[in-house]
Amino acid sequence: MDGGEESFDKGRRNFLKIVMVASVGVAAIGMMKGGISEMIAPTLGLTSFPSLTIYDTTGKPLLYENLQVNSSSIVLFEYPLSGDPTFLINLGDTSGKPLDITVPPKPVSIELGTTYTYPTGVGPTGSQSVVAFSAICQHAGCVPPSIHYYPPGTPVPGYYSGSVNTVGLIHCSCHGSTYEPANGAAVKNGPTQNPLPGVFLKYDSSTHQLTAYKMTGPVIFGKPSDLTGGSPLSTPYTKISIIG
Amino acid sequence: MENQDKKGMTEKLLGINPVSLLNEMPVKKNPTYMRKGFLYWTGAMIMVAFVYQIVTGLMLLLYYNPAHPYTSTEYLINNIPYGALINATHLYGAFAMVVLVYVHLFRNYFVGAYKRPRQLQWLTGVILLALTIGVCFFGYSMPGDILGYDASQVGMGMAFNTPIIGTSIATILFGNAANTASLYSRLLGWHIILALLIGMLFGLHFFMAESNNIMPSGKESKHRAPAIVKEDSTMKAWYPYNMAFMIQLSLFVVGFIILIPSIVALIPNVPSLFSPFPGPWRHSPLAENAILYPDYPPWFLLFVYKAVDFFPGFISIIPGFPPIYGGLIATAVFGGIPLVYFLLVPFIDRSDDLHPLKRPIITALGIYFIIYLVILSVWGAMTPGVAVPLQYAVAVLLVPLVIVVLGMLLISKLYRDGKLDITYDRVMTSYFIFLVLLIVGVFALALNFASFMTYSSVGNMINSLAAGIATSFAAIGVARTSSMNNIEKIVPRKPTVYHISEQSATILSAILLVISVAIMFLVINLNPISGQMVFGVGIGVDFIIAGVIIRLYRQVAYNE
Repeated sequence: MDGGEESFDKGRRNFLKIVMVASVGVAAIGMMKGGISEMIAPTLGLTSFPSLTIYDTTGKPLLYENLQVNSSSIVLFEYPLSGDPTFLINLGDTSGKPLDITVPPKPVSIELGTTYTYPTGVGPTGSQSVVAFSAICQHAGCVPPSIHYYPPGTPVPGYYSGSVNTVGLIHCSCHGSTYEPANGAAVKNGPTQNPLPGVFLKYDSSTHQLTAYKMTGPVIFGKPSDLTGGSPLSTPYTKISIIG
Repeated sequence: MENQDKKGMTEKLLGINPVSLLNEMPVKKNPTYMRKGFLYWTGAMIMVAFVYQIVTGLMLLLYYNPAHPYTSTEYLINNIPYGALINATHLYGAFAMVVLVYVHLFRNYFVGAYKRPRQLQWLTGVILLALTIGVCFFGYSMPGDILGYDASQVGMGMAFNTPIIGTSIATILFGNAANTASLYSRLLGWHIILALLIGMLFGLHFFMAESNNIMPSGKESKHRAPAIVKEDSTMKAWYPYNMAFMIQLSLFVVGFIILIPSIVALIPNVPSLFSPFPGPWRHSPLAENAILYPDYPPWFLLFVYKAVDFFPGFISIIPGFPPIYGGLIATAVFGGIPLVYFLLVPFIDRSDDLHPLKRPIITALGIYFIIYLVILSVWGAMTPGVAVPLQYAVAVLLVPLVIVVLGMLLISKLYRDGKLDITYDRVMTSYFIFLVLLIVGVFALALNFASFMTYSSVGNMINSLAAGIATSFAAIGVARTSSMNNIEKIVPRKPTVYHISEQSATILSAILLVISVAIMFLVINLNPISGQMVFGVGIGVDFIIAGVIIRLYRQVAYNE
């Protein structure tokens, strides 16, 4: 083509051309690896909700009668994936008797304007009092012990006196979000706009065991969906842990 | 001969000659001197950054969820291979675009590229500046972290407080404020719509640039408009000369866009304005830490943000009408006036003079706008949200204007009288740089010293000392360079030509390739989550190495 190039040795020229293409190729390989890896959607998580029987801390199935009513300690189990804390609460009235939640549940409304119903509590007929909710506050993601259940008659520090708290409340001390567990953990008081995601429980009347099998309501705080963003439990059951 | 045969083969196979096709593309040939540096290619660099933004933006779109903006972003960063790297380089690619758009604007302003025949090209360019800042604003708000949330709230406040049509504007831009999804799907939508508008307008801008060709050097145009290079047979073909240069340029731009945020990400405690990661969730206790996360807009809007402090609250302008929101006045005055000025400048300055010193007022205003951007941005970063009396602000902004305009008129007079030789270019450039430094330095010194006097701390004492030293340095520089202007003889600079022999180029390229392969080998199998920023450093360096190898090839093969 133009002048000043004829003097350039052809062997060197071809070598330089190869080096040039190779160096761009090396950079491109890195770029492709990064770009394609990013676009592959992660396969972590599950495609459907697992059915997991709740076990106690000793590694045996947890029985209904062993779950304390209005427990002062926080009882948690992991559901649906490993590391997702969920409250397990045996609701009671002010006298400490199991609260029978068999009245048809009211719809719970969430921020996007839709409503859903959380089913009744589970347990023996006449005392269907056990409920389960995600233990991550929907407002800013605070976890137990910042957020926990206050049995009826106990004051919620800085918010409600014992006489106002008649039905039992889940309250988050980070910013004051309060939920009503007897009503599907509907929002009692902001700043949260979403209720706590509910976990469906099954009660086996012959074995007295409890099984978590499904979820409803908003997505667990901090996750793209309930079933992704974590790894499944390595056990076919889910064990409780107790704080306090 | 072998080459000829190969071409013959492709031609036989495809029925076309690819090289002649490349040379028939509607792109102009360029004089060789333009390929010496990057100064003639600031627009091309913006284009490369823009393409990088589109590619990474679409990759981020795959994971963005407007109903859960923060959690979906955090999920991308913490769980997706190379997600944090792509997110961080998308942010810094935007920063690069903003900086390059300003560099491009001021370069073309000072050389008079807005004059005929490029007036329309200039107009589309100024609109592209506004669109770029807009697209960056929406993008910055999208993660829903405390910084982005603050930015979107300020924007929403301004939109709502626009008289009469405020509610309509706010709902068009930000949705009906019903919930998170409503706001963030609008932010996402406008981010993409504005990017699309930039792409379309850029197409127009690009083809105008191709038909007008790149503005030639002052020497070639003899500083008279219209400055046009005529294509002639002595110019080298676009392929392979300009194409090799464009590939080299693209590799450098992309290399630095990847390299810089990767290095910044490895440094602990980067100030929130420049952090390559989103800040904390807006409701988390950490977000309320005003020292770590002051109420800042993105840095490229800091200058308007400081101006808001000059107009606190609502101000009644026309008696009998409701008062107007101060932030809106500030934006209209401090953002709008420069924009309108740049839009009108081709119609204000219609002379054929292209030399900056023959257009003293225009050049002075350009320098002043740079000082103005720097002063207001630094001021905004140091004392965000502290109200300033309007008369004080006017004084602070007026003093540099007077200095710059008077100084330029003086220098221009010297130039016209022939006392400033054109070969003193370099001294002049240093003189201007020192002058700008001096003004900024005096300002920083005054501000720091004032705060030192009212409240002494080690921090502001060190700041005052540093500003003092910088100011003295700049003052000495101004004095030295201005006295140099009077020296009759300055030894003319010999053009430095870096000549490298074929042999050294070959060996050097081979060594660089080996280093490049070694780096890739080291970083490619790092953990794609925890090691991704180190991976970014490696990729960035490899891009730059590839650029250097092409530079070497152009030197020995094309003698460029």
